[in-house]
Amino acid sequence: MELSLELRRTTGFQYILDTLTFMSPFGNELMRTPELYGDADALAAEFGRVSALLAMPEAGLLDLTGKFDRQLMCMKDIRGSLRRCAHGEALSILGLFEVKGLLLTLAEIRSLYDERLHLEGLSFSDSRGALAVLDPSGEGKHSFTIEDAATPELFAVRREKRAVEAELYKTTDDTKRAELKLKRDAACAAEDQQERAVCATLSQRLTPYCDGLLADCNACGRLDVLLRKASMRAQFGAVVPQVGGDAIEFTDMTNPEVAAGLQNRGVGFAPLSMTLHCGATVITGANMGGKTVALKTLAMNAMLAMAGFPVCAASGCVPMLKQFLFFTRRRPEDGGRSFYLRR
Amino acid sequence: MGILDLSWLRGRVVSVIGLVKNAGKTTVLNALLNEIYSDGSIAAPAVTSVGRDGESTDVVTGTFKPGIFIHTGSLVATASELLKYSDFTKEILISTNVNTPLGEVFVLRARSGGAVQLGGPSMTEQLKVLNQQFFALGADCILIDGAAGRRSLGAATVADGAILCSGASLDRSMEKVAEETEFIAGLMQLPLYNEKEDTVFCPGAVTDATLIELLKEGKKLAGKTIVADDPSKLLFSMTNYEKLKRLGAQMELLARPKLLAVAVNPVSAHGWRFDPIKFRARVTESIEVPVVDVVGG
Repeated sequence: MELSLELRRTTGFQYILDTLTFMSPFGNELMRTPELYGDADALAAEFGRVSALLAMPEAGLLDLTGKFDRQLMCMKDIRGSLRRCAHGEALSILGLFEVKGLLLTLAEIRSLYDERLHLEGLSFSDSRGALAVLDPSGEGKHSFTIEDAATPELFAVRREKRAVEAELYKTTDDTKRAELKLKRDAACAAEDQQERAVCATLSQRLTPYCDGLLADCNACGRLDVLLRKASMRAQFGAVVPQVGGDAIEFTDMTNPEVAAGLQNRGVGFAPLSMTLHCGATVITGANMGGKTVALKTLAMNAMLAMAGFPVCAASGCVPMLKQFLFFTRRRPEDGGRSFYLRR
Repeated sequence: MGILDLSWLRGRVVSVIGLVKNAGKTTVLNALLNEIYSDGSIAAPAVTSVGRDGESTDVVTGTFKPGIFIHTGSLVATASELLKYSDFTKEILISTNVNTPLGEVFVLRARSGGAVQLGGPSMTEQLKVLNQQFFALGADCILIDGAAGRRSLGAATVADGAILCSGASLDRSMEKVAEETEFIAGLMQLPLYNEKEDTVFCPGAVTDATLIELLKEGKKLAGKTIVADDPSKLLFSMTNYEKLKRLGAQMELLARPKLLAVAVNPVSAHGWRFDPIKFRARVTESIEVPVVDVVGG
C-alpha cells in the first residue's frame, strides 16, 4: 500500500524523508512514493539489511556511506536510453558517453560493495563486458570519443578531412577555398555517416547488458535508501523495530518534526511510551496536553516500521499492519498549534 | 594590430559584450580565435556562449551571422541539440548538469577543426562553475560570447577581462552610437572603491529610479561617492548619470573586469552603414582602451 502525501505530512513521516538526503535519482524516485511492506518476510529481510549496516561502528558506517555517496551523487537517470538500447535502438555519441559514465560509476560501486559490504538480496551484475565495449583500452576515463581506428572507413574519411583542412588553412585563393570547403563538407557528411554506423554497432554490443544495467540502477536506488535508513541512527537515534505480536508497543518515542519545532522555542520533546492492543484505545487528557502529538508520533513510527525504516524510539514492536487511517482536525499549515488553541 | 595581448590571456576569462544585437560579438570572437590559432602559444582555448551563436542566420532578426570555426585541441561548452550542427570530430569530456532549452550543456574537446554552434549556460553562477571545469580540463583561456544587450557578462565574478562591441545597429546616428559607446566604456572603467567617508553603497541593480532618488538630495550630493557592485549592475541612463556628476558626486565599483578593447562594427544589420575610418576615429577620440574594427582594420 502506498502512503499518501497527506498522511505522511500529517504525521511527520514526510519531514523525515525530507531530512534524509537521497544521493541518486534512483533513491529519490523510490522515496517519492514510499510503500508499506505487505509481506512479513520481505519486511524482515529489509530490516535484516538495515541491521547489518547498523551493526557497523558509527565511524565505519559514516566512512562507507561517504564513499558510496560520492559515486551515487554522480549518477544520472539514463534508464530511457538503456531501455531504447535494450530494444535494439542505436544510441547517439552522447547516449554512449552517458552509458560509459554509468558503467564507470557502477564499477566503482560494485568494487566498493564487494570489498566492504554484503547485504542479503542486494547485488550488482557483472557489467565489465559492457564497459569493455565503450572503454576497450580500460583506461577508465570518463570522456568518450569514436576513435579513428573504430573502422577502416572512418580512419580513411577522417584522414581525408584533416588533409582538406590543412590545405584550407594554407590556401588564400577564394575559388580554391570554395572547392576545398565543398570537399570538406563531403568529408564531414561521410564522417557523420561512419560515426552513426559505429554508434549502431556499439549499441548492438551493449544490448545484452541493458537489462542487467537497469537492475543495477534499481539496486543503486535501494542501496541509497538503505544508507539513508541507517543514517537515521545518528540523526534521530532510530532503532530497528521488532515485527510481530498483536500489540503496537513503543518505548520513548520521539517525533523529529515536533521536536525541531519545540527546539526552536527552547523546549525539549518529552519521549512517549505507548502500547496499543487490538480494538479501540481512548486517549484523554487536558486541552493542549499533547494528545494529537502522541497519536501522530505513534502513527508515524508505526508507518516507518511498516515501510522498512528504523523507528524514532528506544525500542518498538509492531505487528504487520496493512492500512493506516489518520483523522485529525489539525492541518500542517496550523504550525503545530492545537485545535483548542486555534479556536 | 591584434585585439589584445595574448600573453595576458593565458589562465584568464574574457567575455565579449555587445551593446546591441548584431554589434559583431561573434566576428570579434572569431578574430580573437584566429589570432590565438595563428600565434600558436595557446593550445587549448575554450569557448562558450550565453545564448545561441554560430548559426548562419540570426534566429531572432533573420540576418546573416558568421559561423564559429575552432581548431583541434579547443574546448567548447554547448547544448546537446546543437551538436548535430557542429562538424568537428568530438570527444565528449563532461556533462555539466546545466539544462537549457536546447538540452543539457556538454563540454567537448575538438579532435579536428570544424564549425561549432554554441549554446552555453546563461546564469552567472553556472558560468562560474563552467569556468572552473574548463580550467580543470586543461583550458588555457576562456572566451565567452555574450548575448545581445546583456551586460551581465561584465560581472567581475565571471570574467577577468571584457571586450565591448558596439556598432551601427545601435542607431542611424554615428554621433549617438559613439556617445553611447563612450558612456558604457566609461562605466566599465569606473575607479575601484577605496574606503572613504561620505559613501553611499548601492547593492544590486542601480537603475534610473535609484539615481532619481539620490538626485533628490541635490547639492548635498557634492563630494559623495556612490558605490555599486560591478558594471553589470549599472542600468541607468546617461542623462541621470550626467546630472549626478554635475552635482559633484562620483561613482565607484567594488569589482570590475578589465576593459581590454572596444570593437566597432560600422555595418548595421538594418541596412545602413557608417564610414569605417570616420567611425573608428570618432570612437577612439573619447576612449582610452584600443578601439578595433576587426573586419575593416
